[in-house]
Amino acid sequence: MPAHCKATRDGALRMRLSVDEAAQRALQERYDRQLRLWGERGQCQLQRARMLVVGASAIGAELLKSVVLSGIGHCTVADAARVRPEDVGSNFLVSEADVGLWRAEVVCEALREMNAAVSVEAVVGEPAQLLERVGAASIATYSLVAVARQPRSLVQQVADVCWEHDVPLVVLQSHGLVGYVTLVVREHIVMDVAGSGSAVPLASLQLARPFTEVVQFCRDHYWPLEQLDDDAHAHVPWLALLVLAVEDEPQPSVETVLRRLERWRRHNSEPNFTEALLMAKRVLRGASDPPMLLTLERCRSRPVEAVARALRTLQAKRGLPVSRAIPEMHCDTASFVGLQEVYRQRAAEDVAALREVLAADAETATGGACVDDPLLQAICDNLYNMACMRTGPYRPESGCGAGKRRADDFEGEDGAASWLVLMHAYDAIREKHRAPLEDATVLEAALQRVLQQFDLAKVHIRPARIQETLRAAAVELHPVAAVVGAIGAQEALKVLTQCFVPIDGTVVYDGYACRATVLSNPPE
Amino acid sequence: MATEFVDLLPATSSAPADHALHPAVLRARVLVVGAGGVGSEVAKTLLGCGFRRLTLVDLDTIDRSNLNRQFLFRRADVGERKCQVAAQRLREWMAPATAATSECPLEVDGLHGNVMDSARFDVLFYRQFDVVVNALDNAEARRQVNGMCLAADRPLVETGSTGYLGQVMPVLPFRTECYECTPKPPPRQYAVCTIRSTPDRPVHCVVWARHLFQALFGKVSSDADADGLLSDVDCRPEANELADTYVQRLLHALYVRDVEAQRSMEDLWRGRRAPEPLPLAELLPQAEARLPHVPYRANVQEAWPLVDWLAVFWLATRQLVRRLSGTSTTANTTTGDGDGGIAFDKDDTDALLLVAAAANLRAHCYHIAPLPSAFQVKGIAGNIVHAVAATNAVVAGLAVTEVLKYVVLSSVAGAATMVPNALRSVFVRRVPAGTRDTRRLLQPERLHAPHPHCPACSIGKVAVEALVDAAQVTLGDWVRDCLCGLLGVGRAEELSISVLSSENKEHRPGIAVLYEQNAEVDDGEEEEEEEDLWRRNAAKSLAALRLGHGSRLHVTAVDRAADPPTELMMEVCLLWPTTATVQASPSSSMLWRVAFGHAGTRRPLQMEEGVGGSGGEHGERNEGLTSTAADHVIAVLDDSDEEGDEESAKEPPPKQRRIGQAHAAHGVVDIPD
Ligand SMILES: [Zn+2]
Repeated sequence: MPAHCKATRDGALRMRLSVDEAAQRALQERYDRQLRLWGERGQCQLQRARMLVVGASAIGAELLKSVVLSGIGHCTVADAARVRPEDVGSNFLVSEADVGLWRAEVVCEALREMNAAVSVEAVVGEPAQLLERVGAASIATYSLVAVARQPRSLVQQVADVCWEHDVPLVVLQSHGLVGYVTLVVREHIVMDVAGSGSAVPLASLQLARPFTEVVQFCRDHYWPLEQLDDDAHAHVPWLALLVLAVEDEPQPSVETVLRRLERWRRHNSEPNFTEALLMAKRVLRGASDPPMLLTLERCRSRPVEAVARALRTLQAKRGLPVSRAIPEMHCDTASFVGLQEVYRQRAAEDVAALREVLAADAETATGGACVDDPLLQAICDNLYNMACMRTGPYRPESGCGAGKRRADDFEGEDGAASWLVLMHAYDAIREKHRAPLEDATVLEAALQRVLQQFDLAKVHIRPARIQETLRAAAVELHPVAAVVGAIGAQEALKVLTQCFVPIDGTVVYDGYACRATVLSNPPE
Repeated sequence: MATEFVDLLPATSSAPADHALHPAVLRARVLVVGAGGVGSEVAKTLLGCGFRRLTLVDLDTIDRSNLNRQFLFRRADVGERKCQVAAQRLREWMAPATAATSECPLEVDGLHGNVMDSARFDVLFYRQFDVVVNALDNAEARRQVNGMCLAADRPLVETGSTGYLGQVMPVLPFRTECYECTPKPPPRQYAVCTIRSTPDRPVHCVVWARHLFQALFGKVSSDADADGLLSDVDCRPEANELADTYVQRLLHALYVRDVEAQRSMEDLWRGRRAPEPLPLAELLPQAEARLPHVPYRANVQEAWPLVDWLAVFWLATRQLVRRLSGTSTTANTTTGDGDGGIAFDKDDTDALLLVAAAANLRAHCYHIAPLPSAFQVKGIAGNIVHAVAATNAVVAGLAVTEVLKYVVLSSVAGAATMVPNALRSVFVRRVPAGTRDTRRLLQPERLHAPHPHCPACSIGKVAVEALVDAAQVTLGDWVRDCLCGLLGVGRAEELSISVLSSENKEHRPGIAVLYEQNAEVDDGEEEEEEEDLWRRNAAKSLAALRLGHGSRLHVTAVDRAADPPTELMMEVCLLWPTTATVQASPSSSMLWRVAFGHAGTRRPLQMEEGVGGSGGEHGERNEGLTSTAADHVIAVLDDSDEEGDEESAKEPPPKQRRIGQAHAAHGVVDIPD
C-alpha cells in the first residue's frame, strides 16, 4: 500500500500511512537501517515510487529483490518467458515447481511474500506483444523503468518512450563474467547530495547577511557583551557572536570580523570564541549564493524552474530561505532552544513568502506548473545540498557515447568500452543469426562495422576479449547477475530517493578483474 | 602466464542448468559466518553458483529491522533463529533442483552458536571447510575467525558493508595480508573525566548512560564500571524492592546526589556553568501523571519534554526490573537476558529507552543542547550501521566470485601458485573514484604481502596431536618433549607460555601466563614467588591445568645467546584425536606429532612492543559503544568517500600506503603476466 506524504505543522515531512499507528511503527522498525542513510524524505519518495521492470531472469530478479526489500511503493514486472528448468537455481525467486508457469507471475508472488507492503503486478505475453501489453503510454506514469536482458529492439523502443516522457531508465545486461548498467536521465534533481544525517550547510544559516529576527534575538540576549558575567560570556553561542560581529557591516570582511571577535574575547580558553573564530572563516569566505540556483533556473522541470525563479525574487526582497535546523554548538540549552526557534520561525515565514511569490507569478499560473508544499519545503531545506544531473539519450551501438570515446577507454587497463562494444556487437549478430556464435571472424567483422561507424576503426580490441565474449555466449551467470542486478538497484535507489548523485552513464562490470568502471554519457 | 581470464565459465553455456559444473565447486565445503544481511546473500549466491555444501553459523535471532535486507526472512519468522530459518529457506529453494545430481547431494546446515566459543568452533571445526566467508558486524568476532582460519590454515574471505559502501578482502593464510595485518582505527574514545564529570556534548551523556545501563542491569559478573565512570552510584535493584520505589531512589542518586557532588567541586566549574540537580519533588508527580500517556517507543524522531523523559525512564526501569528478576532462574536467548543480567541490545526497546532517558536527563542537568532524540540515541549507543539490501548483494556477489576463483584455481594442477595473483580485494564505492580517465565504482586491489610483524599471522601456527592422556603428562613434560623435542625450541632459551582461551578477548599473549623459563636468574622476592608458581605449574598435569582438546597455547622463545638475539613466536593447538591409540609405554619422542601448520620462523628480537599492542584496556572496554561506523567495514574504507566529499573521493585508492615497509622487505605477491 503506497504511503502518501504530508507536511506536518513544523514542516517535517513525515510518513503518514493510511494504516494504523502500529503498522507505521512496524514500518519504521523495518526500514530503520536505511532511514539513517537517505532520511525520511528519501524513504517517503521511495514508498511513493512506481517502477516498471522489463525482464525477470536472474538479473531482473536480483534488482527487484533489493528494491522491494527497501520498500518501493509499486513494481510492475513484465516478462515474455515461462519458467525454464535453467531458471531454477539461478533465479532465486523461482523454484522447481514453477517450471512452465509465466516467469513474471511467479516472481511477483515471491516478491509479495518478501514484502507485503509493496504492490506488485505481473504483465506477461509473447515478446512481440510485451510492450503493447504494458502500454507504451503508461510508461509515463512510472517513476523509473528498468530493462534487464531484453532484445535490443525492445530496449530501444522503451528507451525512446522514457526519454520522451522524462522517465529515468536503467538498462542491465550480463554476458558471462561481464555486464553493464546504464542509467539514462534526461534530467534528474538530486535533493540531497550528502545523505541524511550530514551537517547543516553553514551557508544556509545566512550569516553573511543575518536576518532581522536573529539580530534582534542576539541583541536582546547577549548585547552588550561587556555586561555579561564570565560564565555567560563563555556561553554565548558562536552563531550569536558572528551575528553580532557582522550585523552593522554591509559588506563584512573576514578580517574585520576576526578582529572584532579577538577584541571581545576575554581569555583564550573560552570555547565559544574558539568555535566562532573558526566558523567565521568558513562562513564568510564562501559565496552566499547556493551553487545550484543557476542550474535550477534552467531546469526542464517546470515546478523546479518556477521555484528557482521565485527564489531569485525572494532573494532580492528578503534574502534566501534560512535553514530550519542549526548545528550543534557550545552553549547552554536555553540559548540553543531560543536560536533554534528563531530559525524555525524564520524558515517557516520564508517558505510562506516563497509561496506568495509563486502565487503572484503570473507566468507560473499560466505555465501550469503545480508546486506542491512538500516540494517547496524540500527545496528550501536542501537549497545547499541540491544538484541537477543529465545524461545523453540511450544509443546502443555507440555504447552510450562510445562514439565520443578516446582510444584509452578501449585500450587502457580497464578497457571498459571494449567490453561494452563487444557485448553490443554480440547481441546485434545474435539477433540476426539466432544460433550461438562460434566463429570469431563473424564477431570481429561486426565489431569492425560498429567501430568504423564511429570513426574508431583504428582502435585495437584485445583478441583475448573477443575470444572470451564468444566463449561466454551471453550466458547469465549467477554471481554476475547478483552483482550487476544489485548495482542496478543501488543506482535506482539513488534516483528514486533523490539522495546521492547516481552514475552519469554506464558502469561496466568486469568479473575477471572484479572491477566496475564508469563511462560517462554526457548530454549533447 | 597471462592471468587476465580465470576460467570460471561453465563448460557448456547454452543450458546452464545442465552445464557441467566444476567438480571442485560441487565438492567444496564452505563455511559462512553470520547469516545476516551479507551472510544470507552470500549463502544464496554460493548455491546459485553451484556450491552444494554449505554451513551457516549465527548467534542471532530475527529482528524486525532485519527484514529490509535479509531476504530469507519473513515477518512470521521474527524471533526465530537466523541460521536455522536461513538454512531451511535455502534448502527449499535448491533441493529439488539438485536432486538429480545425486553424487553431490545438497548439504545446507545452520548452526546456532557464537563463533567466539572456541571450544565448540575449534581448529578442527574450521579444518572441515575449504573456504570460510566472514559476514560479521563486529571487529571482535572478525579477529576470532581470522585467528582460527590462520590456525586451521584455511582461506578466508572477509566482507563489510555500510550504506552504499562495502569491501571484500580475501586472506590466504601466511601468503597474503590478513585481517589483523592492518591496525584498525581505534574506537573513538572520550576522556574518563569528561564522561564522568564534565560532559559538554550530547554524545558524552549517551556514553555515560550506556555505562549506567551496564552497571544497573548488565551481567553481575561484568566489571562495567572499572573506569569509575559512574563514581559511587551503587544502584542495582535490591531483591523485593518495589519497582517504583527503586525508580525514585535511582533518580535521586543519579540526578540529585551525584549532580550535587559534582557541583560542589568548584574547580571544575570555573569558566563554565555548573550542573544543576533535577527538582524531583516538583517533577516526579508530573511525570507520574504522564506515565499512561508517553509514547513508549524508540523510533520517534522528535525531542520530548523533560517530564516525558522522566516518565519514560520510569517505565523503562519498571520493565527492566521485572525482566531482571526473571534472569536468575531462566535464560532467554531471544532477549539476551540471563546470567543475572540483561545484555544491551540496540533493538531492545526497554534498554534503549532507558539509555535515551538517562542521557537526556543528564544533558538537562549539565545544560547540554541539543538533547538527543531516542532515534539519535539509538544511532550512537547501538553503533548502528546503515544497511541497504543492494549493497549487501554487491558485496556478497563479489565475495562469492573470489570464493569461486579460489576453489577453481586451487583444483587445477600447477595453478595453485597463481591463486594469490588472481584474487582481489575490492572496494565498493558510492561515488566513482580514480583518475579523471578511469573512474571506478568497484575498485579492485591486488592482495598485499603479510605484515612482517602482524600479531596474528607473523607467528607460527601449529597443531600437535597427543598420543598420551592429558592426565598423564605434565606441563614440564610437554615443554621438554613437544616444545623442545618436536618443535625445536632450544632448551636454554627464555620461554613464556600463555593460554589463549575464549574468555580471553584480546587474543594477545601474556594474559594468562602458565609458565616462564628464564635464562638468567634474577633475584628479588617477586621473581622468586613467580619462579615458584612456574615450578608448581610445570609439575601439574595438562588436565589439571585445564588444557585439553582444542586448547591453544601462545609460546614466545627468546634466544639471547644468538647474535643478534632472536625470538620465535608460535601458537600451538593441542589435539587429542578421538581414535587415539594411547601408547602403553611410549617412548618420549613418539608422544606428540605435528598434525598441520608450521612452527614459525626466528627473527631478530624486537626491542619495542609489536604492532598489535594498540587498543589498550580502556579502548577494548568501550568497543561496541563508541567506535565509529567505519569500524564495521572491514578495513579502511575510503574515508573521503564517506564524508560525501565528491572532490576528494577522486583520489587514488589507499594502495600500499599501509604497509609499504612490508612490501619493500618481502615484495608484493605478484606474478608478471
Ligand atoms: Zn596478518
